[in-house]
Amino acid sequence: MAHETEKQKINPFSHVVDSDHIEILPTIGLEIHGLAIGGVPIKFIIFITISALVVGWAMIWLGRKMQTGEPPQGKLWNLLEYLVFFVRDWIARPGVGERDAPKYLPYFTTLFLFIFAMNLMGMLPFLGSPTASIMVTGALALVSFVVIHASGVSEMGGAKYLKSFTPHIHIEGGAGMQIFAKVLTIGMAGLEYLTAFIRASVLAIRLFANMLAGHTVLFMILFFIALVSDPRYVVPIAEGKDWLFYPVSIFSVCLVVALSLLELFIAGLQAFIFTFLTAVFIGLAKHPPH
Amino acid sequence: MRLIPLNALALLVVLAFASPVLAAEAGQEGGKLDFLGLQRYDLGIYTLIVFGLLIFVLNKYAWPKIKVGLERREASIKGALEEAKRERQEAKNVLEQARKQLNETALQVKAMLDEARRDADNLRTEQREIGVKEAQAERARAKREIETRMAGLSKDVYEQAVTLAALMAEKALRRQVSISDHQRLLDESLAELQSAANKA
Repeated sequence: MAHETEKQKINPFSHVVDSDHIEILPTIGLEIHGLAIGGVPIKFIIFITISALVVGWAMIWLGRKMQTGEPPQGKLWNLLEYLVFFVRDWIARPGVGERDAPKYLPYFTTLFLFIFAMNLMGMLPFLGSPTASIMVTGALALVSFVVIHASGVSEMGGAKYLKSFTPHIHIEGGAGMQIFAKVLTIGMAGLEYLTAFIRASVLAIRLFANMLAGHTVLFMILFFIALVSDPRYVVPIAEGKDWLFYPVSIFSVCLVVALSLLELFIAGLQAFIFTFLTAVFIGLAKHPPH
Repeated sequence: MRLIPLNALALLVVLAFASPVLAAEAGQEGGKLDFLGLQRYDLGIYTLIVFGLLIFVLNKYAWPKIKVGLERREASIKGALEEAKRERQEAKNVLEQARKQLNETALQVKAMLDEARRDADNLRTEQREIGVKEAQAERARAKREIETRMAGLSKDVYEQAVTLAALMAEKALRRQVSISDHQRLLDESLAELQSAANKA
């Protein structure tokens, strides 16, 4: 029963969500506390700021280098230029077309690099990814929502853009069929208007869920080691089997290394998907299919 | 840091400190969905402002330069491409000219060979004619020489025959000769005639 009193509730999200501290090596008391103002944690605010500063510095540095018109030299210059060209060739041009790509390239590049930097913050030891917060991804989706519909309105005017959500349904027949066509049109228009909001919501939820789930899984796999070795946690299958610490540790560490590589890929992939879908939605808003 | 306006940095700092206060005012609720952080709208506002500032700063300090760089790069690549095209055309022209010259040279060589062959044929014909003429002249000369020699020899034979006849007549006049003597005399005379011919 002593174990029962000491048993603690495990919160698998505690290391992933925003907090007022950074745990480096908590077993030896190496932690950074006090990352809060008025009781509200600011860890993610710091990471968001760092991400923005890194992206800002990198792009300004790239601008100064590229201004010379010389071919890229060095790893950093090549890498940053490659990222800009990647966004241009794989996101902007396929999404909004050759004509509009240069106009939207700054927005897409900034969005992609900002999300990518925030995602990568979670891959640095002891830190966390601000994109594991729905409010952060929601804010970015809100910006995309505004840009998407502002693009549509600027392309064809407000009234025409709103009308573009209404499908043209033509059904031959009597008065009943015509009423049915009207009802169908109104219903589908409603769905289309709803889709405009759903698209933005999905952008936010997809990025948030992927980052939250990925980092939570990594934490839980490592947490298996504590489950079989830390006396505070009681796991019936591991009781009296101290030797389990070694195989579980090896298994957990190896699996976490492999999944971390996958997470690294997902950090880039999710940034790409968010930006690419924004580009596609802008393209659809400017040139609706019906 | 020179490129990032100080007021933008100041705004970031103010927001960093202000947003938690805003969130605190909104109140925090505990629950199973705490991990969603739905009450943390300060994070959303802060993200909006930071992202907006980032876009503003980059549009002012990075993208114009990147655009200029891209245009210069494009112009440079375009120039290099045009130069390459021009050089390729020049190389094509040179190749065409070289090919033309090669063809002309081949024609010239062929003409020279034909001429040489024609000259050789002419020379061969001339030489043959000369040879034939010389051979004919030589033959005529040899014939003439043979005839001269034959004439000389005939004269010698004639003289020898006369001498022999005189000799035989002289011997016949000195004694009575039998048939066998006659035969022997004739043989001796022929032998002498032969030796005289050999000596000649």
